[in-house]
Amino acid sequence: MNREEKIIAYLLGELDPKDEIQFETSLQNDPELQLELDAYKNSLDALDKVGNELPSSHMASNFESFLSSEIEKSSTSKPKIIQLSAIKWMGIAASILLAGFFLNQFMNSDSTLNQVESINPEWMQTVSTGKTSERIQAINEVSQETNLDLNVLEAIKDVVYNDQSSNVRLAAVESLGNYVHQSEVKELLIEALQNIETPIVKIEIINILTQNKDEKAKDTFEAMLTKTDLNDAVRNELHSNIRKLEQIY
Amino acid sequence: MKNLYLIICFLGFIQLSAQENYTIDGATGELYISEINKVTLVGTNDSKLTVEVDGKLYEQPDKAKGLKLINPGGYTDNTGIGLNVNKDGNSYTFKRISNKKGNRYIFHVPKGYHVHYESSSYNAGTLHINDVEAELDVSANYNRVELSGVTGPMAIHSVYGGIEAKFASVSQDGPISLYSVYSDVDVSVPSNTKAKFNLKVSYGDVFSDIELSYPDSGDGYKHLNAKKFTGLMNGGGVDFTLKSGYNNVYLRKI
Repeated sequence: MNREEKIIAYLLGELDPKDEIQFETSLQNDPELQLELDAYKNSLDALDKVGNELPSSHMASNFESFLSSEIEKSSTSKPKIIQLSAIKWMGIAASILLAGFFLNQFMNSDSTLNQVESINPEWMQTVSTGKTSERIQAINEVSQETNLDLNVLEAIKDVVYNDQSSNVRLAAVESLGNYVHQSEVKELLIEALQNIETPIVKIEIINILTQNKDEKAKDTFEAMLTKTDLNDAVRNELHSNIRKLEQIY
Repeated sequence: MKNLYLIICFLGFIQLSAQENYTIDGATGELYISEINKVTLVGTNDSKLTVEVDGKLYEQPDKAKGLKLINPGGYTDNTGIGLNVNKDGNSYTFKRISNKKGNRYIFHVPKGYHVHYESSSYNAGTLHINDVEAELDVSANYNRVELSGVTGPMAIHSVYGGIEAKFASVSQDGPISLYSVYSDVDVSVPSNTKAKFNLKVSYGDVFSDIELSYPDSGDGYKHLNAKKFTGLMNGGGVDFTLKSGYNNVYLRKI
């Protein structure tokens, strides 16, 4: 084992006790060795900071497929044995880790719901503090996207529950109607239907769930009808839409 | 002596008039009108907001002498016209303190205001909005809403009441949305209006005398869904949504 390999083995805790004591004695007598050790240690720390990214199930599945195909390819070709220095090995390790990090981002971006996209701060500010018409305009812009980002969904959920204008809350629910095929959106609408008091918002959600022919909708509507403090218009809408769903199924 | 009586009567008239108006100086602000029955909004070029009682102010019954009107919200008449106002910066919230129908309140609104109106009462009556250039945000359960000489931007909905709007012009500054769940939505716009109409009717029809063009939806097809479609007037412009759940939408040119 050469000097570089010993440093790495020491940092990884792979030296046997006898070699470890000998290495630590050398460290006390060799300031240059101590500097080299510090340099390697810093490199490993930097790699740690890349993040302990846990792969999503989607990424894991893609990676396993990729790995299987690579194993299959490698079994048909001769392996090449390359002798590299410890520094080169560390460089390669760093590259693999970084590549893995970016690969994770890339593979996730292929999923239906992009979980890593950040919200445009200007959009967020408009939705939070703009005039009524500006907030509605910002919400309407979301409806033009093909798929709804989960971060955007969280922001719209906040609007649905907390915006002071029922017209803005209504616009938010209408925009969610375009994404009701996404399970997160459907769950949010069902939850909001039961928790939000504003009649016009409830009516809009009832219609969205019915138009989507949602299987849970009829049970949800019937459960709501047992409440005694229900607004008349909402009660009528529930009855009417239960009849529509009965015709569908 | 006769002249003295006339002067006393005149002063008394001025005093009475002064009691039936409430004024807030300033041409800009946020106006919130919450649960006040029978309201008219009128646009003004004045640099002040004025609330006027149309007719004689509601008087408390003789039996209430020595008592004060109480309500769960703890609101008191701090305007002298039967309303409570809460000031927060340049935001003003007016609330009703009596359940009696009373007289109509006329709000003279400078164009620099944003108006937010909210009502859930059976007795709310018709909300009239005349010549108001301020941005409007109206949420009603039972009111009929009648607008004339308006421009937008605005978002107005009523669950049971119909909406009739005659636009002086159509502002391109922000979206316009008019929605009634159970009644008609009837809108007239100038013939030179540029707008992208989003027309939505679940159980009704859309009637119009305007030549609209129907864009394809980006996939090369025109989606001919009579319940929900887009029509461009003069090539398109501001987002203009007209929606009725169980009745018709009427779209006219002036």
